[in-house]
Amino acid sequence: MDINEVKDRVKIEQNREVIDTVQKQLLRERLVKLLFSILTKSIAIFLLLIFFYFTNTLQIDQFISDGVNKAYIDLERVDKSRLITFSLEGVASDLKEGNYSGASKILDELPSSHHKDWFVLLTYLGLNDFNTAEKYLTKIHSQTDHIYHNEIDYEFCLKYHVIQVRSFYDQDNNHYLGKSYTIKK
Amino acid sequence: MSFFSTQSNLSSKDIVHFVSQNIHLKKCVRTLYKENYTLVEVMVLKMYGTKLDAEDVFRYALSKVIWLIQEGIIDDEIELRTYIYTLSRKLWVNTLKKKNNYTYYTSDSYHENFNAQLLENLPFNEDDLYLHREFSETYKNCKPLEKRVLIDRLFQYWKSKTSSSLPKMSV
Repeated sequence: MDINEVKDRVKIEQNREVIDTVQKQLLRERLVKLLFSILTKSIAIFLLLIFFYFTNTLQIDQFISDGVNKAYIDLERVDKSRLITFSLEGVASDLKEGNYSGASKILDELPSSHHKDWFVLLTYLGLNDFNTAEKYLTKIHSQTDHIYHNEIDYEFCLKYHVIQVRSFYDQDNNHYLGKSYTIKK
Repeated sequence: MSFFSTQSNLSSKDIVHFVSQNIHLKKCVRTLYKENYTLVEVMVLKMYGTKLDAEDVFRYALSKVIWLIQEGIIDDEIELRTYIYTLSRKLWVNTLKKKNNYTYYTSDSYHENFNAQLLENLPFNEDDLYLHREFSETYKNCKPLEKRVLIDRLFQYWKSKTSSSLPKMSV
């Protein structure tokens, strides 16, 4: 090995050092990517578990009953529209008992009002008619002066959509299992 | 050319241009590493090597290819991938020969990235991993020295090695 060869080999060694640095950098990046991937998957699994827990613990009847409790009905103060109030009270009573088709019949006879919109939303949610329920949900949400506008918050919408998704899969399951499926009306 | 885009679009010619100008060296090495390492690893693993051998073969072959570009010895009509693969294979075959563990594989010589003619004009094509590892080790030990002294010290070391009978090296 002559002196020129040594000089050339030293240059090659210097290049090798650059390659080593890049190699270490790539290894670090791969490690970070791996950790990030594990973290993302863990978070996804955790969120999925929370979603399943939430879906399983959420009761439609309870959700509707809570919605009825939020209704601004005061029989003593609404003297002039006593008939309407009584009817709304009847609807509220039916909804609490889970008699959604009964509530629907009473609602058909009532004049339009903010209370009616709210009860129609809850009734059709109970009847699993999400098209009608969503129409009223949108109506209440879009009217800022609607007295139930503030009730349509994130929590309500989340629960509403969880019920919708669960209802979809429930129907799907029953269809595949060949079971006869009846909704409590 | 979108040099700073997230996905590297550096061609062989771009890399030759940058390396010969000694700019963006790390970026070029990174691209070459990402695009060619697997090819060399597969070759070494198929020929009785380990992952560690593959890494060493690739590092030494790549450092030589970069040196060839810096010295202007490289033919920029030929893909760098061909240079890397050919030098890597030659380096590993020489190592296996030294280990007395080389069996000639006909299929290897017909690999699309192997070009035996390249080797005829390239220096250091009889190198093997033993020599490279030993040189690296000596270089590392002498590195704190000033460059001129370092070269002199390395020269003296290798001169004494070649003049005396060498003990059998181990990898």
